[in-house]
Amino acid sequence: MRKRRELAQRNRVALVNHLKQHRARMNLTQQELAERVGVRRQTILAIEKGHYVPSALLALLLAAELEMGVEELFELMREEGGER
Amino acid sequence: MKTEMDVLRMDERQRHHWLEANRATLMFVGVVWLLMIAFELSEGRGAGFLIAMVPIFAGLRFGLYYYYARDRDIRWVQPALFIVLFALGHWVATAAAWAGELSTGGWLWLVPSEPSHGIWAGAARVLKFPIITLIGTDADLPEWLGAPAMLVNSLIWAGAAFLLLKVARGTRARRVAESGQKAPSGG
Repeated sequence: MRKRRELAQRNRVALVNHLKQHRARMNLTQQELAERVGVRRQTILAIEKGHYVPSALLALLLAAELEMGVEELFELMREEGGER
Repeated sequence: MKTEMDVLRMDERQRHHWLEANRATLMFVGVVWLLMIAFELSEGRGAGFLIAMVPIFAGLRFGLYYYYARDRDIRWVQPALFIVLFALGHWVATAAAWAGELSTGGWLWLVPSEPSHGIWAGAARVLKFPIITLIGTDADLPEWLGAPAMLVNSLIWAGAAFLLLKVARGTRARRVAESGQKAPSGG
């Protein structure tokens, strides 16, 4: 029961990212950024579109390449009703 | 351990989708498995091997998962995995030796012709010890008892191997502890 409640709460949380804006700020293409962090271009596209949540390692690498903190690049968006 | 995902140079998102594809494929295989069982039964044949096969592999999968994940303190997983895998290997080896013994045209062309099957017969006798050897020849066993007897025999081998390994590890650990105790006094 507790597990189900935790899952329901977790579902009210979404990860939003500002990858596209900051990539544009650095004048980088998806391909260039992908090569710098060692993934495929499609992976960058999937992260930007919010289809894929990157690992902590990849998030840190992306933030480092874009010369910013990881919490500026990614943030948790909580829907109303979700616990903090 | 290098995986097929490393060989294919997949990044983390591709690995995620690869695992999704594995799951979907397994589900498809599961449907085919159920259809095969239904077909065998509809033809009036026994489907015992088919029915037993997948639960055994599923059990193995859970065992391997708990071994790799180690997110539960289950101490019996590693010994159980060792015994199951060893027994499986022994069972396959016994079946291979048996097939070699019974074949008349040579087995995989490794043994060209009769009467060179002595090597397989010898291997089969060793591998069938103690259960089947003590009961008698395979011909003495009722048909339904053949497979369970082989399985029990393989489990006995696996249990013996596990005990031997445990004793060897214990002896090694004692030696290491003794040498560790002696080392400071020497320096």
